[in-house]
Amino acid sequence: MRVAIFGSGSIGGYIGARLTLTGVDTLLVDAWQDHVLAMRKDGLRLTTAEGGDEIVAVDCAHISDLHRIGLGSIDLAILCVKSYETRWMTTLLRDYLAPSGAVLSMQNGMNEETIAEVVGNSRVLGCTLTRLGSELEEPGLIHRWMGPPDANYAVFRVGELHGMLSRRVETVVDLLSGVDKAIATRNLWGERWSKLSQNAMASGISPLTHQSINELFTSEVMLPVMVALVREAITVGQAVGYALEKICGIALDAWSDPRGLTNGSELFYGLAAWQQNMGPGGQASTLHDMRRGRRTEIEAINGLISRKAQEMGVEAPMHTLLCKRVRAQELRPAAEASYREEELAAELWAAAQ
Amino acid sequence: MHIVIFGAGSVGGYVGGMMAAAGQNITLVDAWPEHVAAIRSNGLKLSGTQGERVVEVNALNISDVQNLMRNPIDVALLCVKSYDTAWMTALIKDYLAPSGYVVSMQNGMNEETIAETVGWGRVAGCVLNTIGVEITGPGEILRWFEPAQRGFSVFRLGEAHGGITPRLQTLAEALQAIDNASVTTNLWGERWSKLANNAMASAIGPIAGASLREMYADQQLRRLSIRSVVETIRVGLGMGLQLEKICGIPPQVWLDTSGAEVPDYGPVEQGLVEFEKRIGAAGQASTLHDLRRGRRTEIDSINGLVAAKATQIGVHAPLHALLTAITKDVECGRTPQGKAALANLFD
Repeated sequence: MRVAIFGSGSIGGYIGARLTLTGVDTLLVDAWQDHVLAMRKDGLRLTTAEGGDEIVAVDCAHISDLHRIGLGSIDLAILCVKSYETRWMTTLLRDYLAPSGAVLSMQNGMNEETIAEVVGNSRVLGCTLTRLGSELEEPGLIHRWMGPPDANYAVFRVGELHGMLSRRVETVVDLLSGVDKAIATRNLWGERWSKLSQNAMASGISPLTHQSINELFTSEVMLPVMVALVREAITVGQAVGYALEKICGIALDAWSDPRGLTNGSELFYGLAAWQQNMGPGGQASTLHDMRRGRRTEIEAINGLISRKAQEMGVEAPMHTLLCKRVRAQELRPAAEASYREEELAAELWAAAQ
Repeated sequence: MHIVIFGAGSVGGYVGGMMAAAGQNITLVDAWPEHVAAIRSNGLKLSGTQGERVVEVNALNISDVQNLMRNPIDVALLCVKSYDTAWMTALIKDYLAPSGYVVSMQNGMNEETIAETVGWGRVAGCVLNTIGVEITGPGEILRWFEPAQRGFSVFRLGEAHGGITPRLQTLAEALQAIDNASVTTNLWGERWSKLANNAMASAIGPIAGASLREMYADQQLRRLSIRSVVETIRVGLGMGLQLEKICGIPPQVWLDTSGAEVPDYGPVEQGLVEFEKRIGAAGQASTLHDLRRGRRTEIDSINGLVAAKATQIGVHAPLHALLTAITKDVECGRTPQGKAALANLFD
C-alpha cells in the first residue's frame, strides 16, 4: 500500500514521518522547496514537548517533481494542506490516485465536499485530529507541543461521508494506530463540527491579540469569550442537524449550563483539565501564519461557522466579526498584536448584544 | 494592470520578461524552485533573435502564490502545460481581482477547462504563432524564431464569444512590446489552425528524434507531417470551424495535396521552405524537449485532441490516433526513439 501525504507541514510531516517509522510506504509531498531539500538532505527531525528528539529518513518530493511518482500509483492520499488549498491540490493529485485509491482529509474545517467535487464522493474519507498540536519550526524540523492526555484518548477519528463503517476505514485506522490511538467513527460530520467549534475558540482571537493557546485558556478576559464562541458554534451545528460530540472533552450539556464558568461548574473544571498538560508553547496556526505574512484558514474555521449560520438563519455574530477582522488583518500582517485582549473582548461582546 | 504569468518556462518566461523590460507590472510564478531562485538572484536572461538582455522581474514560487492576496491579479497569463491547467486555474482563482481574468497562452484548447473553474466571462485565449522559445537553464530563455514581419501576428487574442473587447485590446498593446499582437474574432479557428501546426511537429519529429529543421529536411518525415495537417484540417472543417493559414499556407492548398491518385506535395513544400527560413537551428517541438528530459509530454492535448475530436464528430483521423499512441510508447520507453518507429505510416 502506497501512501502519499500532500502538504507535509506540521501535521502532514509529523504523520508522514511516524508512518514511515512503522514501515508504511509513505511519500511526503510539499510545495516548499527548502523544506523538501532539508528533509532529503538530513531527514525529518521530530521533537516533542516531553523531550523526544529523533530523525526520520523520509521519502519526499516537491510538487514540481510529482510526475516521477507515476500516474495512478497512490492508494491513500492524505490531504494536510490548508483548507484554501484543497481544490487545486486535489485536482493536482487526482491523476496520481490509483483507481481504487481514496483521499483522506486531515485538515481543519470541512473540506470533504470540495474534495468529492474533484474525485467523486466514493473516494473521500475524513479524519478529525484532536490533541495533536505541532508546528513546522524550520525546514526539516517539526515540534509536537500537544499530545493526548492519556493513551486511551482517540487522537484520530476516521469516517466515511455516509457514516457507515468500511474495510478501508479499518485499514486507515490500523495505519494511524502506529502514530496515536485511532478509531473509526460513524459520525464524521458531528466530529468535524465539534472539532471546528474547538478550533474556532482560538483561531479568530489569536491572530489579532497574538496570545498563545495557553494564554487564552488562562485569561479571565478571554475564557468567557471563548465559551460564548463555542455556544454560538453549537447553536449553528445543531441547526444544521449535526450530532455533536464532546468539545474540549466537555459534554454539550455542560457547555450550555447557565452557570457557565462559575467556580465549581462542570465547564469550569472541564476547561481547566483541558488546559493542563497542553504545554505552554502552542499557538493557533492562524497566529503562526499571521506572523509570517501567510494567508490564514480563518474563512474555513470561524468563517465557515458564520456562513453556515447565515444559511440556516441563525445568529453567529462573534464568529462573523472575528472572520472579518482577521481577513482585514491578513492584508497587512503585523509583527505585533493589533488588539489588546480587553479591546477585542469588548468589541465581541458588543457584537453579540 | 498587474499581469501575472503562471508557468514562467519558455513561453511564459519570455513573454513576461519582455513585457517587464517594457515597463509592465509583471509577476512570474513557477513551480520549479531553481528557476525562480535564479531569476531572483541574477535576473531573467533573455537571448536569441531579439538580442540579449537581463531583466529584473518579480518571481514567486508556487508555494507563495498566496502573497498575491495583497496584490491581486488583473490578467493571469496561463502558460503551463495543458495537463496542469485544471489545478493551476483552481490555485489562481482566489487571487483574481474582481474584474481579473485568465488568458490561456497554451497549446491545445484549454479554455473550457479554465471556464469550469472561473466561468466563461473570465476566460480568453491567446494563440501564439512562430514564437519559438526554449528554456535553456534556470533563469535563461532563448528565442530561436525570427520576429514576425509586418502584418503577421504572433499573438492572436480572442474572446470565447468572438467579440472585440477593450480588455483584450489593452493586453494586445502590452504584448506588442514583444512582437506583433492583434485581437481576433476567430479564436476557435485560430486555435485549431495552430493545433494543426503543432500536431504536424509534436509527434513526428520527437518520435524520430529530429529537430524541426531535420524533420522538414527529410522527405518521408516532411510528407507524413503534411498528411497529418490534412487530417487535422478535415476534422476542423467537420467541427464547423473557419480555419486560418497554417504555416502561412491556406487550408485549401493543404487539402489539395491529397485526393489525386498520386499526392502532389509541391505547393505546400514550397510554402514550407519559406516558413522554415525563420526557424533557427535550435528549433524543436516541446514534445522533443520533454522526451529528452524525461518529462510528461503534452501529446494528449495536441495529436490526442485531434483524435478525440475526430471520434466525437465521426470523422476519420487514424494518423493522429497512431501518432499519439507511438509518442506515448516512446515516452515510457516501450519503443526506441528513431525513424523506424514511424515506418508503417510513410507513403
